[in-house]
Amino acid sequence: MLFQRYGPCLEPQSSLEENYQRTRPNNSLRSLVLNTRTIADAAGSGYVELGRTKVIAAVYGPRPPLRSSKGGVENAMKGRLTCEVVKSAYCSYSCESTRSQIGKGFSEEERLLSIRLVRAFEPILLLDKYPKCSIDIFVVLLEDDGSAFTAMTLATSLALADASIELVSIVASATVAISPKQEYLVDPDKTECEQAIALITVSLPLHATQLCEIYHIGKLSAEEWLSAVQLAVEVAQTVGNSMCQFLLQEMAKNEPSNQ
Amino acid sequence: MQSSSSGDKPLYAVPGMEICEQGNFSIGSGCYSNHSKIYASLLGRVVFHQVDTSSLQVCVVPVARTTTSTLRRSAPPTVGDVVIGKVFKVTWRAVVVDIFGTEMELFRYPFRGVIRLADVTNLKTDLHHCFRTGDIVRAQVVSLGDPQAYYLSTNDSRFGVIYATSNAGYPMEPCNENEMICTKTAIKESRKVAK
Repeated sequence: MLFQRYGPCLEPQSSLEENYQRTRPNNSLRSLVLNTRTIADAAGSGYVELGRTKVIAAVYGPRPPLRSSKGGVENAMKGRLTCEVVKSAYCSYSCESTRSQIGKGFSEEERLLSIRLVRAFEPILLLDKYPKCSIDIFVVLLEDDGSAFTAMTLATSLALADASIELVSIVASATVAISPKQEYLVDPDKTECEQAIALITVSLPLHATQLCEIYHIGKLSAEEWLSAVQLAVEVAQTVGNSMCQFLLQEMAKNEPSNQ
Repeated sequence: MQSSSSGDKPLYAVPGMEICEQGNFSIGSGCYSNHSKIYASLLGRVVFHQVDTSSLQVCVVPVARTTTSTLRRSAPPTVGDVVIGKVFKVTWRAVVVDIFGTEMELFRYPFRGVIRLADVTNLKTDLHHCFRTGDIVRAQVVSLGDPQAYYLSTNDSRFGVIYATSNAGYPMEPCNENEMICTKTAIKESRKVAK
């Protein structure tokens, strides 16, 4: 088990969901909802629902950097990417402990998610085309029901494409959990994530040959790791194709009204 | 400008989509090339320009948004743009300007520009006789400058102060190249006036 829950007297609690059965086949994703232009003021925005996980992302830029970076002229010839991820106060379920530090700056987990998003997207944006500008991404996690980072990557991709920022490629992402029964569960929800012995999240740019990011928690043998990653890559490809189709449909819808 | 259309439907591109082989095409805005193939980098319509008799240029034109955000320009100023800004600070060797738009449209985010002493005018003058804080100036972007500001120039007669307020607080009108006259009190003040 990756995460252990403790009761009020600090005894390890057997999960309430021991009788949890996954209702869909191991290989299938949850229902995916995609939307763009949800935030009118931002240059671009995206909204993604993966089952019950909901994420909204907004992109501002290219704009003059809010915080002047040190480093002189060479650093300024490329654009800069900043990211702020916020978990909303109601994103986790009430059976878990409530955050005791709401509103006191960014928590450790939020900062980690922000850094991961920046590292995943930095090679994807063509920052050379935006000298002296900063592109700011703001992500809010509205509800976390497993594979939150996957949803964040998808939402950020949609937002960046919507903001007409030059990208090498659209980025898609997928999560695979390995259950205690050695099954590969695609797109796990929260209970599956917690009962799993390992979790792998993969982000890949659709039309390039390398992965952006592999995030791995837990213990796996090398063969299991390899097959989990390959499975995640296949799933990410299908998600990415749906995203591209969605973007093309949106464009075709908006075009006739402009002519 | 010819737009490429197979039949009636235009070609839409998603970032990362392969458009064509490198061939004779040159690359315009919105695409990049990798291993002798041209890929799109923006979400939009693929358009082929006829640049000269032998080569075509590939561009991806983003679909215009219908919301109010199209009223302002989101792209930053480039070299050669004529921009309009408000003077924020005058020192002995530079004038700092808040650029808020070009002649055609406003920017979404204000940028910082600097007019250095050498770029203000051909003759040597004290910068306090050319600009004051609060003047609206028209200038040309000379270079991307340093990380803090774009470098601007008012060296031409078209560029300079287009609107100013006098010390008494009333708007001023230009009377010649170097002076403006207050509309209420008729006091002349020296500025570097645009034509």
